[in-house]
Amino acid sequence: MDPALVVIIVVVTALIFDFTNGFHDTANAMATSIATGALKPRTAVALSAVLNLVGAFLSVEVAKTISGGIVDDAKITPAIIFGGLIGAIMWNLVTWYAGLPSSSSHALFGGLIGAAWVASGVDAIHFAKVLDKVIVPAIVAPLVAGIVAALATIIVYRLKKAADARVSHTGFKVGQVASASLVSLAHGTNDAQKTMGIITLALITSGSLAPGSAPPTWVIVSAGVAIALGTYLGGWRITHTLGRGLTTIEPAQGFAAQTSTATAILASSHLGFALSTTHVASGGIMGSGLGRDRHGVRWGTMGKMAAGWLLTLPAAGIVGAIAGKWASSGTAGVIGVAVIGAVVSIGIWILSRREPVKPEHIVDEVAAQAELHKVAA
Amino acid sequence: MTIKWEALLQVFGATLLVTLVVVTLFVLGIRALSGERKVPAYASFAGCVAVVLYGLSLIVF
Repeated sequence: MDPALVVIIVVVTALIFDFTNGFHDTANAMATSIATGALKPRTAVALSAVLNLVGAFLSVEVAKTISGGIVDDAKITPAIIFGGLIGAIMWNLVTWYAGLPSSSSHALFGGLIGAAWVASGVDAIHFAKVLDKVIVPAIVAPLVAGIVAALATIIVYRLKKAADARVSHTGFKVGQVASASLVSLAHGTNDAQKTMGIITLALITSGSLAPGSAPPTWVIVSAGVAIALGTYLGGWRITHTLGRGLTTIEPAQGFAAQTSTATAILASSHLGFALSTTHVASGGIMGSGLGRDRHGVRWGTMGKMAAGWLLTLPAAGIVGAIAGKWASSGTAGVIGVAVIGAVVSIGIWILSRREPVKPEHIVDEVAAQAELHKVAA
Repeated sequence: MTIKWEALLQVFGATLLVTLVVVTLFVLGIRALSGERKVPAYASFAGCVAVVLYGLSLIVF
């Protein structure tokens, strides 16, 4: 197959991944605002989409981490990257169908590492860099966001006692929208970068760009637009889990959780840590839940989520390995992987239509939950 | 194999400092607003905005 054609296929697949990344992660930024009723679902996703687009232009540090270091660009080909992307997309769709807020980023790294490992051997992967820039931040960042969110929540609840209840209710709703916006912006600086990094990597491996190059402008623009479109589509299934599955969320608490989430992601993006915004957002929500009430966290849901997190790297890695090996065998391999990828995606989409989760469902359930609170109080 | 603990510590320090400052200013603003003290209230909110803009400017430039 013409190498240029393979690069085009990789670019298109990467943008499809970016799109799934967008709707998979809408929930991270907007779940708490939707759950507390601070924003209407459609307004929330539109706002988040625009800010993701803006965020994509703010920084390229994470893109550089992906394109320049995790795998050896001399040892892999665009076909291998294609296999890795298919692995990532498959895992993202399966977890989206299940409503699991797993990490799109880890799906991408898993797919890429699996594909490179099997198709080019273990030396194609720079494990030291993977450990330093991916694995360790993956564990540390959610803890940081969680601890800070817990402290912030304690401060907020202490200090707001003296405030008028009505003023503080409205005030924190506004604060929550502002902080959710920051999370969306932060998401653009970290997640849109990952697709940029992958496309840049494909261009480097095909010889179109020099090793170590920063992403070209058209790559930044197209990755930003793809993630914004995906975000606008809205991942209602995951919003559903994250908005009310973990812990009951009040506006003041959502504000504290999101401020710490956004800051942790922005600081990490700036240093080139390619972390999972999903994990950080979940860490922030958990931390603020603990800060408000030690018994207010649903550990069962948290356990299920954590299991999904652990599975993400290896699961996407295995699919990526198979797809990468096959795609790098030649034209028939690339076509075969593309066809199977498309069939599975369409299959999951058809399954999801049978039992759709729509924004209206989330709003209804939040209203029902508010009723319960009145009874309890 | 080197892990840059210093960079991770920076992330923790920056997150802790910025979050606690913004959150505290915001709550103080809300308290001032409930007491009809408009000037301190708006000063607090402006403080929040300034911290956020300063943080973003560090990333962009």
